[in-house]
Amino acid sequence: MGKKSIDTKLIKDVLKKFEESEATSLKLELNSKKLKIKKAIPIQPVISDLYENQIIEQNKNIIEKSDDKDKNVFIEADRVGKYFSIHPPDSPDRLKEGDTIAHGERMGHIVSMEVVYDVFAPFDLVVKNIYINDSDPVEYGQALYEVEAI
Amino acid sequence: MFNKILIANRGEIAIRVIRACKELGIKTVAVYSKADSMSLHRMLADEAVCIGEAASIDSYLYIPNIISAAQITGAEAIHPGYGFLSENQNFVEICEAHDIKFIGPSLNTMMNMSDKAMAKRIAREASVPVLPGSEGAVKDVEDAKTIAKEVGFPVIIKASFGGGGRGMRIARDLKELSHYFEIAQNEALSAFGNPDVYIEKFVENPKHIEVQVLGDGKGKALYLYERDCSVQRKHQKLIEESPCPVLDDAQREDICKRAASLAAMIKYEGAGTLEFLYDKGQFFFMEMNTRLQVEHGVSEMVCNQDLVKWQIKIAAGEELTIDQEDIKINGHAIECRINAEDPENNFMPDAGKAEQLIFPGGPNVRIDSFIYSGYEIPPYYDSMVAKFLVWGNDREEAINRMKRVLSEFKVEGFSTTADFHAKVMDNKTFTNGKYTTKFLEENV
Repeated sequence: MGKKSIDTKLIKDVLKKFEESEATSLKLELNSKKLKIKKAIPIQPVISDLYENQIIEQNKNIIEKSDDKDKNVFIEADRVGKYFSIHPPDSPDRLKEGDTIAHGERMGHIVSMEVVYDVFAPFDLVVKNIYINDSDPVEYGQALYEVEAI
Repeated sequence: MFNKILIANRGEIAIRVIRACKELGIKTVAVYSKADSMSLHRMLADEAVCIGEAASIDSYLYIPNIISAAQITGAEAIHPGYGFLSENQNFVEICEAHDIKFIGPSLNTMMNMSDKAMAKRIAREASVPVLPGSEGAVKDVEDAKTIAKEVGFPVIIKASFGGGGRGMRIARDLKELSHYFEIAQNEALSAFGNPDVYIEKFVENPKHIEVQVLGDGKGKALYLYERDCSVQRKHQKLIEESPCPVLDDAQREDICKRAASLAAMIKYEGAGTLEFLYDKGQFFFMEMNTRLQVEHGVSEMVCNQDLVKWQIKIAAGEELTIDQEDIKINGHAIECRINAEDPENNFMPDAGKAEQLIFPGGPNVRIDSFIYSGYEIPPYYDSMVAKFLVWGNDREEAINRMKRVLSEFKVEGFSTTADFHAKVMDNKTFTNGKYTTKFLEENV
């Protein structure tokens, strides 16, 4: 008698259905074998009802002209919170000086009252200076980066 | 006790709270708008966080940045001062949701006392005298006439959800009542989104007297006696004094005891004020301010207590270790609010850079301010730039001291109300103590 083989077609079908569904985790038990699968959940703003009416506008980068160089500008924090650097989207890499970022790409995010707010590139740019580290607290209007428009 | 407190305010009251915290060994966090980057409260605090643009709605009223500022600095409690978010129920709720202690009364108390009809019901229950009038909103003009006949003319028609004088009409007879009732309803609807109005007996020429209370939130409440705040302009107080010069001891004890019994009944937490109209020996409850008042200092001076420290200690769960017998009126205190306004030009607000600033001093003088030489007063906020408080063994000494204090004050760069106050100190109606809320229109 041969060993009981796992029905790979069945597993593939189940995984496909799981992928298409809104479920975020799955437990399978076949022939005494256990399988646990979890979906990656993308970071997105979580706004509870309590705070909804307090949020006036999101992602309104503040841009101040740098005194040093004509082409350089500062991107400032538009809210108070804790800063995290993430670039490019869905990558473990952190934003670095010298990075080229396309308009609309995420450069980092600020967590304020448990809500995540992305800091997007306001135009195509090269990062000249980064003034903030991961997990640093930020205040309103604090310079996050000095960038050069390209 | 708290390790760190965030002060969600600006100007002199932010500094007042910072000072109390420092004396209690508590670290402080100031929040400031971009227009207040040179403000003294920012410099005196241990830490400071910029929370937004100059407009209050984008900074001192913008709850997410204030809560975030508390979170990133590790502040365990928020003192709201007065104005701004001090009576904002949404803010209290959000503080609770984020495990930040709001230094003030509970949400439930704030909600009950901000509802005028409910506050009146609570006052009646606590044997605090209220103005005779309708129980809540008046249905129609016929209902209004019946109530007016019962309480007697003149009556005042007020918006149930209003404030600031809007939607208010005085009717002296049935004809005027019929005429104004609908107008008041329409005004209430357009100003406050609700046409409900209520009717009260109108007191023609009252004094504005208020009682300072302090509660531990568990049912113990004390009074720090009363303040006379009748020198007002457009419902804005200009001069306050304690004790009220026309009350006798029996009247004083009676109204103060009633006020404290209301505070005890609702298990009031922290400092609060019951405001009354006073006319011909009778008190009528108007409302309760569930926060620290601008004029709290005069009560502190005559009662030798620190209300802000008590607010903080009570919020931290400490016992209210004083009893009513420990609080005695000693002497007399007067406060003048120094506003950056031009009294010669209908009290038009002024702004500018403070130059050649000399603040008064000497014994029994307290200056609560945030301005300094070279400081540019931003035009975005309240015009009050300083409070001059004096204490005297009696009222006469306090008045003379205030005259001396006002004469020592010098500032260039903007107009102030200091000279106006000096004239009031010489005014006979003021010095005899019998002034009412009509003092300004009748004397100046």
